Amino acid sequence: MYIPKNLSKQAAAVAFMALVCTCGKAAFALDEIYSPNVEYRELSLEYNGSRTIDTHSNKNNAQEGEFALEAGLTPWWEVETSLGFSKDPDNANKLDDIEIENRFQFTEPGEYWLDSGMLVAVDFSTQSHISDSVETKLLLQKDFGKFTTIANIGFDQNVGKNSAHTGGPDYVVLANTRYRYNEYFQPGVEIQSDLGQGRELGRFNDQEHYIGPAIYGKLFGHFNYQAGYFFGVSDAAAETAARVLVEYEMHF
Amino acid sequence: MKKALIYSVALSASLLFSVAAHAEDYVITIKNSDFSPKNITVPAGQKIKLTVKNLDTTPAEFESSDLDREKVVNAGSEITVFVGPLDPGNYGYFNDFHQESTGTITAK
Repeated sequence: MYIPKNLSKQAAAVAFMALVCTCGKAAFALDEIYSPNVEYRELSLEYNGSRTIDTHSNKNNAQEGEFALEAGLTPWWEVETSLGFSKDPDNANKLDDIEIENRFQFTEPGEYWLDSGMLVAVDFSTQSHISDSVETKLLLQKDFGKFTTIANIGFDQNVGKNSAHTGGPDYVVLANTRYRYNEYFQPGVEIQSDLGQGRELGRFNDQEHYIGPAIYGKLFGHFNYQAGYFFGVSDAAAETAARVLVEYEMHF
Repeated sequence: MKKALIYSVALSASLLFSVAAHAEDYVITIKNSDFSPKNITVPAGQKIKLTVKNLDTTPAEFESSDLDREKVVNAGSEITVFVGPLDPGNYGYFNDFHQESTGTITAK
């Protein structure tokens, strides 16, 4: 079969670009949904992990995990440093990045119709072939009686070395609504959507959309927990996924 | 990237122009780690502004899971807490650094 020289070069270039794009972007991630309200003078140790559950082996048991130390340094600024781990379905767990995350509270809780804040994080990749990234999210919260709704809307942009061909920002929309039954048990619903980047935007089934029940609360005074079980509602998402967060908090 | 930045800034700016509803003022003081007054009656259906003054030389934390509020008050300083509009009922709060110190807001 005759293959024009130019065509094979183009095909190789396209394949290379596709590989680079895949490397620069996390394949699976269920994130913590952040309140815009900073917890001043609170120090906490946190584990946040998630995994997929799917009958197809290429989507089953993808994992993401994070060990974090966070501190509310001022009434409007909280900083977190974390180690991020991940695992593709066929591979072992690996250390992905070291993250420095800042959360800024814009308004006093309840002062305005909507509480607002912003998250700005930098991920320093520990993998030589993966670029660093900057994450920005708008954090919004609204209380209606005993219901609290939080939304995080933002994007992740690869930067620095190896970022040239990784495409534009990767957009995410995360939201939950919980019923504050008491401080120990707060049931709710959570939505996690990775809208993708570039041409994926606007193609629902190329994006990862999850929705499912979640519970939030405190245990034994100093522990906070979150747990959710999600159903993938787009083709790119796994059939189901689970997320858990455990946090030990203290004051300083 | 540029579009995304403009989008974020525009959203943030629109929020900064949100209008604060009027809130009635109430003052709670903390002395010897205890609240005074311990019980406050406020009108239901209205936003409330609580000023919490800590007269002690040690920090305190105004916390209420009923109101979904948690805020540290440094020694010798004060904080503002906005709550409501509240449905009629009782809403407990406590000092998280001295949990025996409690109080109640009654909305009528």
